[in-house]
Amino acid sequence: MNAQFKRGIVELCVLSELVSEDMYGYKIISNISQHLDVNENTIYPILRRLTKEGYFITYLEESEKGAPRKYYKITDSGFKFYVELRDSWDEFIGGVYEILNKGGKKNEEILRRFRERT
Amino acid sequence: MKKYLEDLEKELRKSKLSEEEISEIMEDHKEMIEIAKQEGISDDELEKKFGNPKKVVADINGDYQETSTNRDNKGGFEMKKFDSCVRDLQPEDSLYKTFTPSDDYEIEVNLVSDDLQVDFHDEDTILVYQNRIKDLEEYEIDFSNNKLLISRKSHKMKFVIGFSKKSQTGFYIFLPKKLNIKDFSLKTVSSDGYFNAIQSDKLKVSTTSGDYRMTNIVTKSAKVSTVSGNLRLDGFETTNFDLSTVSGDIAAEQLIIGEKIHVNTVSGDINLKDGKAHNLDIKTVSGDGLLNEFYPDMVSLKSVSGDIIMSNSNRDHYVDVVYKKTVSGDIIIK
Repeated sequence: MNAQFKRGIVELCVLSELVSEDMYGYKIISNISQHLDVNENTIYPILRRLTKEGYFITYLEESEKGAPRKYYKITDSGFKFYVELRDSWDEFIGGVYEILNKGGKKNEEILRRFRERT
Repeated sequence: MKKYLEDLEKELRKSKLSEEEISEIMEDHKEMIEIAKQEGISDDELEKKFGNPKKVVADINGDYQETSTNRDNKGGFEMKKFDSCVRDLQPEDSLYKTFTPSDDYEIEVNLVSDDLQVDFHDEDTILVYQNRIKDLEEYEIDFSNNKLLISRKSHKMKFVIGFSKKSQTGFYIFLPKKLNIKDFSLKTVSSDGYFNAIQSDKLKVSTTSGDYRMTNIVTKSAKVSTVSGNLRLDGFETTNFDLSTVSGDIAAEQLIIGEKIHVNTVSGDINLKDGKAHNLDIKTVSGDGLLNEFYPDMVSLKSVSGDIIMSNSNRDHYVDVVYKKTVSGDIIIK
């Protein structure tokens, strides 16, 4: 995936992770990096900024092993922000796919159509 | 990973973050690294997951809204001289070419991932240094026809693995102090740029993901655009200015615009501090615009969801709001 595209999308992904459940920082990074090629140095600043903006709050919870962990919890305003961002993302990506699908949905179809024309 | 924490702390110390914030960030990282280790992540993987501490700090800093300081500058804009952002020459910089430019000289540079530094010196010559460029055949370099051209032939991205500073390559150009460049045009992909004391009629800069810093620039017309790179301009004087960003942040201090400045952002934040313009036009989708002691005569503000906040302390300077429209962002003028 293209680097400059990432930052905004990762923000949406971070919000989305915390919509499903409260999580500690490393867990968020680990979940997201399973699917996307991003690392801590992209995710942590986003976590921090969104916390500062009041979209997340943090609390400490004991863990079975080692020190207590800092959990992030999404707030009402964070949830509202997520819904807005998600809406505009869906709208955007929907638009992109409408354009892409005009050329055909699967590679074979795209290729077939292209062959027919040339 | 001990080294990571040490490097992180070093970077944090260089930033403007408070003691409290530094210790919080350090604690967060200690925790994350500890958990990663508990989960049995190998050291190699850890390094990949955590990346470069410089970038974390830069991102945190970029997100950090500087609180305004009390300034007694009431609109008498004397150009303040900023310290040059360009680093000193290093032993690895090797002189590639020296020549004497004529008047109405032009410069065009197109690079992929190589850094570029431009500064002045007291001689009448232009000096071009290169730093660790492995294969100069990859570049078209030409000095004839009143024009310096440095252009990377293949636009294939070089993938630099790791963040070792040693692997950074680049060009370093010195211009004569009094030389006015007719046309200065730069186009780079993931190159960082540092420019100091450039004088030109036209300045055109376009960066995809590299960061740019400029200090003490004087030009008649300027067009600067970035996709995801951050821009920092300190001391920038021009008649007309076209400034645009997709997701990179732009911070400018002492921006003196004779006529008109257009600022266009999708999600990057814009921070203008100390300056003036006849006409200011800001369009933002979701980026925030923060204007502090920036005095346009006329202003036109348009936002979808970003906030635009103008705060000026000089009440005598009347700002004519020609146009103001927002969908869900706040536009505050105080």
